[in-house]
Amino acid sequence: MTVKTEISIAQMAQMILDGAKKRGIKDVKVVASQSRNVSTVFRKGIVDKVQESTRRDVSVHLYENGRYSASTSNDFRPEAMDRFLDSAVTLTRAMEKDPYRELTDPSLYKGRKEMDLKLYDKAVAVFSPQQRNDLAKEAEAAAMIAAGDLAISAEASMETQTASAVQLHSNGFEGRESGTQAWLFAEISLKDEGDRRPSGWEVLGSRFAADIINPSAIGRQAVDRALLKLKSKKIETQKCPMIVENRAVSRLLGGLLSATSGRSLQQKRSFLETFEGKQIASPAFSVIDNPFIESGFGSRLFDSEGIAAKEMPIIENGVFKNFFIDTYYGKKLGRRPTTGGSSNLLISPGTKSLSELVADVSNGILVRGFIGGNSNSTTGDFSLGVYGTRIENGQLTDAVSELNISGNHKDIWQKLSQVGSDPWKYSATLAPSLLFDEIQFSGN
Amino acid sequence: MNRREFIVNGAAMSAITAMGVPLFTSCAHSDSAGKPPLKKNLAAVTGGGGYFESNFGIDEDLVRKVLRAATSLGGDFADIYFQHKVSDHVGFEDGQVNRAYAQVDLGAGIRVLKGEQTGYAFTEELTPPALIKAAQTAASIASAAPVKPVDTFHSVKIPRLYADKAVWIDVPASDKIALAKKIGDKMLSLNPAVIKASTWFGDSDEAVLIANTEGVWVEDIRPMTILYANCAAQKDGRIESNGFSRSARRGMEMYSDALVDEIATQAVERTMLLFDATVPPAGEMPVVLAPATSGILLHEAMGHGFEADFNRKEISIFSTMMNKKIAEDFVTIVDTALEPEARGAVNVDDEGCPGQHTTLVENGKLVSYLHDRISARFYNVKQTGNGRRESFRSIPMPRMRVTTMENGPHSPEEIIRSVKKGLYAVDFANGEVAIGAGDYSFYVKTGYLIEDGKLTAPVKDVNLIGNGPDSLRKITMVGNDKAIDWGTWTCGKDGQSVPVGLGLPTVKVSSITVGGVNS
Repeated sequence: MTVKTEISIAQMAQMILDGAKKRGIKDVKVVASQSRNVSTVFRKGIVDKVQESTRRDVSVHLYENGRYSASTSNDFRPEAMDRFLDSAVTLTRAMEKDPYRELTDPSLYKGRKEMDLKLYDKAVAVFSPQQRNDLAKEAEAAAMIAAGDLAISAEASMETQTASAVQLHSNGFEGRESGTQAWLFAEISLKDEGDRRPSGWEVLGSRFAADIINPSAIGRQAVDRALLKLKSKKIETQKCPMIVENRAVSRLLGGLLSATSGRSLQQKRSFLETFEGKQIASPAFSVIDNPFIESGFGSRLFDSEGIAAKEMPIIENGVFKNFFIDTYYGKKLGRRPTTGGSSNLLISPGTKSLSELVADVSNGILVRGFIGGNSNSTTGDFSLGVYGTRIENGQLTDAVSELNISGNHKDIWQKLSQVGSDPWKYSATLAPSLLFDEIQFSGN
Repeated sequence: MNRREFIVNGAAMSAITAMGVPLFTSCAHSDSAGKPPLKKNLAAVTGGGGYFESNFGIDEDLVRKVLRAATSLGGDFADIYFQHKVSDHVGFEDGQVNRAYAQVDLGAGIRVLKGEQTGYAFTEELTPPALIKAAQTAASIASAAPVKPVDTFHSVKIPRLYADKAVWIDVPASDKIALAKKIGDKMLSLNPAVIKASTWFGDSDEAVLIANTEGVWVEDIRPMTILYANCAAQKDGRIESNGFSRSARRGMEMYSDALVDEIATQAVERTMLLFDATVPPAGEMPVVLAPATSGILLHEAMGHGFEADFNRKEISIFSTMMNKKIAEDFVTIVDTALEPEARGAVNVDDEGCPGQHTTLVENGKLVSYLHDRISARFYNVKQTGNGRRESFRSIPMPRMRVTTMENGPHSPEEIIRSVKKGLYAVDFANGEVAIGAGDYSFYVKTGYLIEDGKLTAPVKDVNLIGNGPDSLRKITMVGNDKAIDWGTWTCGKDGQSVPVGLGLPTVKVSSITVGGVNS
């Protein structure tokens, strides 16, 4: 076996680009990426799992007179890479000609911001096994202590990731990205009435190692979350106001966003087709795609097609403004591409805390999480399983579970009356808690 | 990270996969790749040699060295899982097959166990130094004197549930393109209301080799194909869309003219049905589950709760119910690897345990959990062959294969007749469960109302939610028409996706909460 000298992903990307050109393909996009991911899980005071992942792969997108294919491999042996390119070319040439299929228009590369998004922290890259162990161990121990006699089992994990990628296009684009992330997570199961053993979780995540502090608090908060589920009851079928807690909002929002892609629009599977420039939500609701949030989990200077990142309103004061349109569907739709996918989605926060929102509800339900359910992007119909806490006279009372909410996205966002001041930080979707009027809950 | 146990049927709609906690969003390893060499006519079972030896020079001597490094710090046990997978996809849209994606995935995962503790590392480079380095990393879970692994390997007798050779390597892209186009064109021709049609065809050849410190050495070659057909139709200014899918561990021969017709016809009929369908009323009601696809009930309400990792940790609602009566006498639930060519079939699990049939609930009594190696040792029972993993990058854990209920005493007609007012659920998109609380839900794409014992108005897009043990007790009738569903079911657990199957006879659950809208 030949001894392989380690080459960088930048060199790999260039080699693949050159190899594709040598095979006669003029329009080529290559993405080479690598990541290292290490995690430790603690349970019963000892390491339950320790897992280390180092991966590299390269993708090549080939465009030839409307014919297109994309191929990915992690087999970097030189002979395997040659075969890989040969078959990628063969596959491309077997496709039908599609006049809309072209590499990104180079004019869209222009205007790329030059700024430090603060996505990389060397301290995460050099995080030691001992540091991971100490954090996970302390979080798990704190959870077990806080749960006392109610504790059944707790787990805490500490995970660090370093990732980087190089993207090259044959028509002049070059982009490099690297980032780190560190996540501390704790979950606990508690004894409850009958056979039920509800669990609660808490998470702390950042691109910076120094932000991962006070693991005991994460363990205790996981217990607090689980306590909120004790003695939960199904309640009667009713229409009433609903607050969706910040951490749960992205699941509901996902149903709305599923209709915002260029593909769903062009393929007639978007209930938003007739809503451009029209009111889809109450004026309290604004969603912006903002790629430039410092240290954001979705921050970037260019997208997967090399398009220079920019802020883009999706919904502005309730009015639907923009679809996510990539090069291909942009050509099919006769529109200029925006971007094919979201970066950070920011729901403009309001002024009230979650408890102030609760105080504004005489009788309703605070939804803390969803279980299953789905949404139809063509019609907007949705139906989701929920659990949470009942609100009576502005006070949180009993835990509730085994309920469904149903409706249509064309209606529910119009019923949004207030937006909280508490965006959930541990996601690329920065969503505060939301208060809706009159939602259909089904239960007993 | 946050656990989430769920299942998705690829065809019905784009499922929402937003996690409660975002994992690493920058991970951009996606679909795609080339066409490298899975050799033909590989022996499925060999003692040394075989696919990985002839293609990658992986021989017994090297594996012995790697396992020795893995147990050098005192692990009780170590195994190595080699995987080489070559997959292709082609897509039809707007009248053309105009996109293709290919992917080559290669690597080996090394696991070291010390009691219930796991150390894990993998390498994507199958050279001796890279393998030894990964083994040393995994070894760090333990800290004691080295354990000497066995010196000889023995082959393992495994069933042969699908072709024992790569079946896709010689199929030219033009055949796949023709198939995707045929189904797409057929959808467009079946009904003038159809305005958009898309098909998504996928295939893969996969080879795995599992060897461990107890001397197990087993290879398996696993084919797979999927086909999704989706369409959108317009009628009276309204648009509806729906789809249909098929998947199996088979080759191109699966796609007979009859199946091609069925896939296209079902996709169109299921879409047209939605124009007449409404959202049902909200609240608790009896639910009759149609045969086959309704096996999703078992997957969510019970299956995940029976996975032994959740039980050894005592976090499943079923963890105190072993050997207890949890359902009526006529309820028998099984999970099997032995359904030939099924999407969830495996000749051998990903820990080297031969494919087998496991009875979970026998005549209403809970008799077994789904075990992997760790849990089987914890409970001092035999492994059930449920140790599965997404890839060489992942730690195996108890997963379902093909989960079904055996036939019961009732006829489907009498079951429907017994319901005065309720829901008949036909087709499903996805489901999810909270393991500890036992609450589960599944999303009904289409169904019918039952009024006075008859199926009446069609309904659509409604979520059902219940509690696992409670719903098991409320299974009051089981039909004699058991059927397996051949849809593209993919189960997610702890961030790992694996292909599964499911099935059910007609079943009546006396009460489930139906999401819906009351006027």
